[in-house]
Amino acid sequence: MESTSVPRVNIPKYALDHLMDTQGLLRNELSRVFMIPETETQDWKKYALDWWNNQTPENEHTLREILQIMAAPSHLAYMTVCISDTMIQEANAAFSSPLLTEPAVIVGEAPEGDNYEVKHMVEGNVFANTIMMYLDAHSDIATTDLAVEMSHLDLAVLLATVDLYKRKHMLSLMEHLEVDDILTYDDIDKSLQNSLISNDPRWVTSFVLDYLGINEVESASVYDSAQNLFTQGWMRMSEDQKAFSFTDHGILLAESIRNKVNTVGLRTLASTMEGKVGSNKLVFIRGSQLLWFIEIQPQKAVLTSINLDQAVEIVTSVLTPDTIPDSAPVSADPVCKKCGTPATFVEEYQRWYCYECKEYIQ
Amino acid sequence: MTPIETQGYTNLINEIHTAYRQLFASGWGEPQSDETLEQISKELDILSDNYLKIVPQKPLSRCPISGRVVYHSLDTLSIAGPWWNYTSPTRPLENLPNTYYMLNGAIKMEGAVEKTPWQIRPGPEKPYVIPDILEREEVVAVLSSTKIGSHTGFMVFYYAENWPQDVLPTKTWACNSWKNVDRDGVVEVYPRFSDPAERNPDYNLTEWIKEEKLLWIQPDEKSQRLRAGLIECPYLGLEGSEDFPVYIEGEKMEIL
Repeated sequence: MESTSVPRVNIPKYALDHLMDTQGLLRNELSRVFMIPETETQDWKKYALDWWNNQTPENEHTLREILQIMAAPSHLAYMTVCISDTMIQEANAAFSSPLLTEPAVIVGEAPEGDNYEVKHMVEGNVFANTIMMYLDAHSDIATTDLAVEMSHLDLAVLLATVDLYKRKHMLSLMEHLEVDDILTYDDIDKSLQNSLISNDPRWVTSFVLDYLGINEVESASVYDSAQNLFTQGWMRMSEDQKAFSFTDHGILLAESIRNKVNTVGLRTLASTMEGKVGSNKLVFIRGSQLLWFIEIQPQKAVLTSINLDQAVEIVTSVLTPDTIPDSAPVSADPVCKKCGTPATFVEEYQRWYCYECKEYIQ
Repeated sequence: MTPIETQGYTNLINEIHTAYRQLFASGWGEPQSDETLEQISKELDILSDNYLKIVPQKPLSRCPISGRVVYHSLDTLSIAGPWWNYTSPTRPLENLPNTYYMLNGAIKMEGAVEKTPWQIRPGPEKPYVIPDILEREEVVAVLSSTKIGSHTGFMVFYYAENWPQDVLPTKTWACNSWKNVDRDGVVEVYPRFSDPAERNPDYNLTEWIKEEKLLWIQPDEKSQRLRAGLIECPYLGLEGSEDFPVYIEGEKMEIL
């Protein structure tokens, strides 16, 4: 990410496996997410050795730490940031320890060649501070006591309705008309279905759908969820029960997100000593005056308005998992970055597939 | 870093010993001209660089505070390499957790002590702790073990999230200074810290282990899994000298 002004190095992908082996580094289950290619051939071994021997002692020192972290991260965090309505950036961080005063790295693909581009952070706090910088956004945050628990689908429909509200405002501006704030089932359904196929940074739904793991929604379910949102007090319903408008609570959410500043999604993966991988998923929506926090649990989501101090607590908490991972040797099969499930290699397409998330892994 | 082949290692150590003797040890061969000595000095630098490339940085411990596996350089092929040179050890910059405080060690000698042109101080024959450091609430230590050539090495790493301010660490195992690289990459070297021998080392580990101030790792356990308590602890009741010997050319020296 632009905000992390940390030293970056390029490491040849095909050297990594050999370098880790030669240095006797312990590897754990989480290292599989980096999909480090195995390099048994002598050519690559020689290449790796030559590459290493060309490093200065200072570089070697940093590189050794990077390799140690990539070989056995204590936990991983994938951050997606939607900056204003314009662009989406991603950063994959690997931590050496649940203690954020210990080093961490951000691992990405270098723009050219078969290289990892790795940014070395002297402490994991740098990553936590980067998240907070996006949430702070240099302006004041008000707070409300709003905290609502709902199903994944209800949340998706609520956000699709918020996006629809924003779309209607944009259209009214273009047309010099008053805002038509009546929302029909069809429009809400269309807003949600569009979000399923597009990743437009202007809309918050597609961003959150990715974290909710929703890939398809039947229109009938949208109808049920809209009814639920009425029951929960987010929306009013017309007498013929065919149209909705937001209540005061709904307006508060919709107005805040209409002028969203940044949206930050965070997935963390950590493993226990027994090698069982667990994950956390959460999303922050930094609205114009409010900061919304969505904690995504297996069966439900909790939407809360929080202040910055609470955000610091949440970020610190998810980036400091209790478990210390094992360092036992593991197989080289990659795991899905989103859910931590071991991926399956599909011979026909020569790619790794996650049956849990129903998608190919990058 | 480069894989070590035993013969290559032995040859390199012999070359280093020869160059070192020509430069620093009196009574070895004919007197040399300044030019020759300068040439030997350059050769020794190159040999030392080559040695640095083969010194393993092995997983030797795990920090109980940060959970990090701790890699530390250690010449495990023998104690003849310049890693063990007490006054001027050849060691790479270590990658240690920010919680690292200090490292002490011991070696149970099995067979003859290797001949070296420099002084080596491998520590006593059995592991020990430094009570005035370990009794601090914020400090915890981890005992581990590995083979070093034909000998058995014991390492005691000390960790603290916040280092105690009113007590100093000892010199690092087998060298005459305490050295660390801080999180900004600045190398700190303190030669004036005391030798562990001067800090009333305690060889009775039972109470320290019972109170979980001293954790332990099974000898040569790859995963560096931390263990606590006395059950199955292989480090209790070890026999061996409590002297801190000094060796030169494989001979134990009397130090005043």
